[in-house]
This record gives sequence, structure tokens and C-alpha cells, in this order.
Amino acid sequence: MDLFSNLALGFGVALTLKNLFYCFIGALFGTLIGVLPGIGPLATIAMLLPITFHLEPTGALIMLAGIFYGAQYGGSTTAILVNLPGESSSVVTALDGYQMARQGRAGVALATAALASFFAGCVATIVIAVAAPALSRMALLFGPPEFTALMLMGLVAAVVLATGSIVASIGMVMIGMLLGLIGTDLTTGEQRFTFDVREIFDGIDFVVVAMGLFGVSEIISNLADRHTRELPATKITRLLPTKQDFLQAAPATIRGTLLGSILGVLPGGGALVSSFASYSLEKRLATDPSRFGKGAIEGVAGPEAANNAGAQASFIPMLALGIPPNAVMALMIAAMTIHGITPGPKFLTDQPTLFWGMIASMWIGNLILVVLNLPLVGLWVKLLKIPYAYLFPMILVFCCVGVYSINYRVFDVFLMAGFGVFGYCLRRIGCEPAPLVLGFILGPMLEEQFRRTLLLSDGDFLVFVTRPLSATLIGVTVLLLVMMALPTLRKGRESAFRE
Amino acid sequence: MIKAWAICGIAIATAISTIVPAAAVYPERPITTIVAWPAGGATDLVARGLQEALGKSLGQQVIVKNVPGAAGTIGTSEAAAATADGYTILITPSGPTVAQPHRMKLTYDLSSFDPICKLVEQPLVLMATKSTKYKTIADLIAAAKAAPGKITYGTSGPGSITHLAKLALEKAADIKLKHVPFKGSADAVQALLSDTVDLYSDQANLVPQYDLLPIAIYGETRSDNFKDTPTVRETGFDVVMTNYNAIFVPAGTPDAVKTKLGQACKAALDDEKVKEIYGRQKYPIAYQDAAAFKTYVEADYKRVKDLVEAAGLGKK
Repeated sequence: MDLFSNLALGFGVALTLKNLFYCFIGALFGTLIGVLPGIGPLATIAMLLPITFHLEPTGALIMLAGIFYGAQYGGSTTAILVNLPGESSSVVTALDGYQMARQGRAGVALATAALASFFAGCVATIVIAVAAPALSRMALLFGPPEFTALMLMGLVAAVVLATGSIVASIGMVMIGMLLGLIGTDLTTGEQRFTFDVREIFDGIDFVVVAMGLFGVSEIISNLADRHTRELPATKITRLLPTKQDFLQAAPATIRGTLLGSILGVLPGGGALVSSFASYSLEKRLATDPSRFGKGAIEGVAGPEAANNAGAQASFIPMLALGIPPNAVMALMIAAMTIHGITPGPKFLTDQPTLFWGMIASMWIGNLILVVLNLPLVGLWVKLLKIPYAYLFPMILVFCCVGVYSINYRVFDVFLMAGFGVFGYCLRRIGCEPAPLVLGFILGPMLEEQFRRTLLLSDGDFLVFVTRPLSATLIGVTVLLLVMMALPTLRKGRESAFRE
Repeated sequence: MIKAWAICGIAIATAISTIVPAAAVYPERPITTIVAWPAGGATDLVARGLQEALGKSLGQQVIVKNVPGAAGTIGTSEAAAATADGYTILITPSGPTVAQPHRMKLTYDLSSFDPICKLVEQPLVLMATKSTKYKTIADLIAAAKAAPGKITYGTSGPGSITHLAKLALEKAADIKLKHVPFKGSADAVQALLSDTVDLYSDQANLVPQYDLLPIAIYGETRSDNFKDTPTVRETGFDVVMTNYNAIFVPAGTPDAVKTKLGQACKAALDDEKVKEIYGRQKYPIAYQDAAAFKTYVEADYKRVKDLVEAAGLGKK
């Protein structure tokens, strides 16, 4: 069997003492920066890149990859504990994870996230090993119309994220899209909504928006209504999931892993869409969808699995085609270029030891992560025992440091504060920030691909339905819309009849 | 009496501190290099590849400071506003210095800087997939004349060097191609591979990496790596478009400091380690001293101004 000999080669490389060490360092570092809100893998890998000048390429890449998936692991920790998603993918985890923490089930949520991630990571590694070349061709089947359809589907799914009124969440998605359009217009190079403020010529960074809307506004509202504030620490019952938790989480994990492994391959937000898609899917399939947003364990397990599988799967187009599906992968390519290695279609045949070594190291890295993270669950949960008067200034400081570290600009810190206040106002009027954030991320991507599609087709809208893949995606989107609208319509009719 | 002596002493001290310029001991503290792009980007890698050797020949540490944003103009304005004492230098490609001043309202212009040297330079390559219908410039021009505005040309954004190459070719050959902008070269290459666009032009190393067809080279001469690929000029159209990185200092920096920096820059490019690093990254070293580079960059500035304004991309 080719696969086994290849994997044997890979493990031979990854299990050398030196590479194990790099893998461990990467996973550890990744967990740490993942836990620190705002300091993401992008900034960390960028800072560490010059150091890799002095390392040999396999070790360097194993370490950088470890940082990337380690951060995906760690990112959920603050999302669950203090409602602070440091990564775009952990926005979804925060929805139910934080509610679980408030109910004293922080340990269960963290353990579920870790186990789901581990499962997804292992499966995705196997997927990469078996199907990398085949899956990478899928990335090339996606042209602008297909991406447009995919983003549209993601946006429709965003509406499902909210627990409250559909109208409010559509409104939030719209505001998010508007905010996302700030910056330089890609097609003409003109400035939009920038008011000559040069700091926002490239648009507003996701981290600034997410930390403001989730983290800072959470702090404001916790401080504002003192008497209703219940500290999660008062009633932590157990750390590990019960049998019932496990039964609920397992199918969600499997579905999430599948979604992530497929969508993660697509360049431009595939991995992210997968975690949102997984959440919507779980909510759809649940017998009692009203539990979502109030601490449903599937809402943590599914998206976490999807997110990790997606992160791992995003290596496929990078390794097999040399096409980076996200900014972190673009940096990985830069790291390879430093060492004179050119990732591209010939990478697999030219550099088999590096290719298979990296894949084997991902599996080892996932194992290291789960061993590292499960014992830490107890420690993280203890953090919640810190009185809020001490905890919230710490969170604020971390938020500021994280936001500042993106572009080394104080402007961004003020912007985050502004979003914090805005987020608090939204809460007071019963609007939820999650759909806004999704609109913010997907809106600009949708616009870019939509305009490119029409540019290429000379303004002909028919391309969306004449290409089979985009037609299918649009069909699914319409179906989702109808499913969403039906109960509301029915309710609407009922109330109409009553009058 | 004592007072007079004191005044005298202060006067002398002041005189000494102004007469003896920083250059006599320059550099006496670390030098900051501003890179107007994030760490890990192409320009950053040029700067970091040079960092150690430049520091060695100056006898001081060189620090790379990334100030990204707004197509490199945020970092470049910071460099322009820095004290002109040689302790803040700018390593930059041509975009922020010769292209953006024509496109945006900025606090600086090319004249805000004094050139020190050119570091690396490579011509853009016009490329397509191997299954393309346009194997030569002649094929392309014939097809473009037959169907104006139908052939798609991907670029890494409006006003970028890849876009300027397209504009220059259109102008020289009197043809019209469809401009399809992308967020960067990675997206544009993906579009090329998935048959979304027909053409793209960028650094030569993409050709072997993605197994593409080099149609022509936007260079003065043919390239060693593609001996069979003609230059655009050979095919009868005088278009040259290169991507170069250079060192600048704020205008008004003392001559002695500039000379010292120029020498250090040359020494660093002769360093074996730098040659090895740039070699691996496929950045061809193309040293030009301050005088030669000044002429070069000023000519480039005028040429780009014409292209940008003719295409209606200038500032409003």
C-alpha cells in the first residue's frame, strides 16, 4: 500500500526527537496565543518567520503548522470562559459555550471542545493523507460564481445563529455587511466610508470588531446590571461530560468534522463558513432548537469540530497546489520560499519527506494538544473563581494588548472601545452581535466575488444557474430560506387570523 | 566675569554639538528600517534578508519595523516624517514612492526622500496556463484586436504594478483587455489555474512553481531562467515593467550619512550570506548607487504618472 509506506515515511520524519520537539513547541505556543485574546496565529507566525531563517525547513514548518492548529484549539478557551472570541471561528463557540459556562458547566464545555477538536483533527489528517490531490482539484472547480453562491449560503445561515427575532438578525447581518465594506474598493481602488482616516483604508480588522462587540460589551453589561450578575464560579459541578452530554455531542462532532473537512479546502473563508454551517445544521436537526443559545452542548461540539477539521483541511490546497486559502497559509508559503522550497503542484513529488512529515506531525500535534489541554481545563475553570472586580480589568488589558498587536496602532484600541459601547447598546435593544460579525466577514467576500462574476460575464446573471456547482449551492440556499420562512409565515398567518 | 565665561562655554558647547555632525560618529545607535508591509511579506523578506549584513557593515544593529496599511502609504509617511539623521531608513518597492503619490492624497511625495541605493529588481513576466490560446504576444494582440475587451487580464489590484504592466501593454499595442482585479498574487494565480482569467503578470518564480507558460518578459533583456521567452520589447512594443526594492532616507539627511549608508548597502549586497538568502528567494540583486538610482526612480515616477492619469486612476 502506497498510503502506508508514505505514512511510515512521514512518521519516520515526524518522530525524530528534533521534530517532536518543534511539534511540541508549536502546539504549546499555539495554545498560549490562542488563549490570549486577539494575539492570533497570523501575528505570531509573522513574528517568528525571521527565526526560521536559521532552522531546517521541516522542523520550521512543523512548528509553524503547530502554532496554527494549536491556536484554533486555544481560541475556544476564552470564548467559552469570558465570551471573548479571539479567532473568527470561535465566534460560534462563544454562543453556547459561554452560556454553558454561566450555568457552571465551563469544564464540560472546555472538555467537549477539546475532545471534538481532537477527533476532528485526527479525521482531517487522514483525509489529507488519503485525498489531498483529489480534494485540491475541487478548489479549482470553484470560480467566482461558486464562491458567490457559497457566501450567500453562509449569510443565510447567519440568520439562524440568532435566538431572537429574525428581522433583528437580518438587520444585524446588514449592518455587519456595511461595516465590512469600509475601506478600499477592490475593483476601482476608491475609498469607501473612510472619511480620509488612513487607519481604516484597509478596512476594520475582524479582531477589533469581535473583541469590542463580544468582550468589551460583555464587561460593560456585567458591570451595569450588578444584581442580576451571577458568577459562574458559584456552582461549578463537574469538569468532564456526562454520558448524556457525550451522546448529544458525538453525532454533532461527526457532522461538524465532515463539514469542516470539505469546506476547509475552499480558499477564502471555507473553514470559517463550516463552523457557522455546522451550528445552523445542529440547530435544524435538534428536536428542541430553542435550547440553542442557552447552552446546548451540540452548539459547542459541532462548530468546534468543523473549525478544527477546516483548519487542518486548509493545508490541502496549500500543500497540493501552492494556493493559500487564508492569510496564515500565505505566510506558510512565505516560510517555504525562505528555504527555497516552492509549494505548488510538484511539491508532493519533489518533497515527499517534507509533505508526509508535516502530515504525520499534524496527527502527533493533535495528540499533544489534547494531552496538554485536558488537564488545563481544571486550571482554566479556576480562573473564573477570581472575583469579577479583578478579572475584568485583566480581560480588558488583554483585549487592548491583542488589538494593539495587530497593526501596532492605538487607533485600533479606541475603535474596539467604540464597538464595545455599540455592542452594549445592541444588547439593550435585544439585538445579537453574532449575525453582525458574520455579515462583517462574509459581506466583503460576497461583494468581491459577486462583482467579479458579473465583470467576467459582462453583467449576465444567468451564469449563477448555468454552472452546475453554483446552481446547486443557490438551490440549497433557497431551500434554507424557505425552511426558515415557513414557521414565521405560519405564525404570521395565525396572528393575522386572530385579528 | 564668571557669567561671561559660562555663556562662552555654553556657546562653544552648542557650537561643537552643531558643527560636529552626527555623521562623524554615525551610526552611534541602532538604525530602524521601516517596512510598510506586514512581517513575512515580500518586502519584509527583502529587508530581513539584508538586516544582519547591513548591520555588520554599519557596525550597528538594524531593526526592522513593520508599519503596514493603505498600500504601504502609512509606513512610508511615517518614514517621510522621521528626523533626517539616518537613523530611520525606508526599504520599499516602487508602489508607495512612484505610484501612490499619483493616486492618493498623501503627506509625502517622491521628493520627500533621498535615494540611497537600489537593492533587487526583477522584470514582470506575462504568463498564462499551458493550455492557453495565446502562446505569443502576436497571438494575443491579434485576438484582442478581433474582440476588444474580451480577453481577461488578472491583476493584484487597481494601481498595482501588475495593473500598470497591463495598462502599458494596452497603450503600446493599442488594444483593450478586460481588467479583473484580485486581492493579491495568490488569488490571481488561483484564478489563472481555475481558468477564471486568461492572463496575469507577476514575478518570474511563479512560472515554474505553478507550471505556467511564460508568454513574454517585461524586461530590458531576456532572463537567464527563460532563454526561449522573448521580451515584450523584442516583439515590437517598448514596454518595460520591473519590480524593484530600494533604500530611501528622508530628504535633507546629511551627505556624510548618505555616503556611509550607500557604502554599507553595497557591502551588504556583496555579502555571501545575503547572496544566498536572496538566491533562495529568487530576488536578483540589482545594485545601483544613489546617483544612478535617483535618475532611474525619477524617470519611473514620470512614466507611472502618465500611465495612472491616462487610465483615469489619478486622485480626484
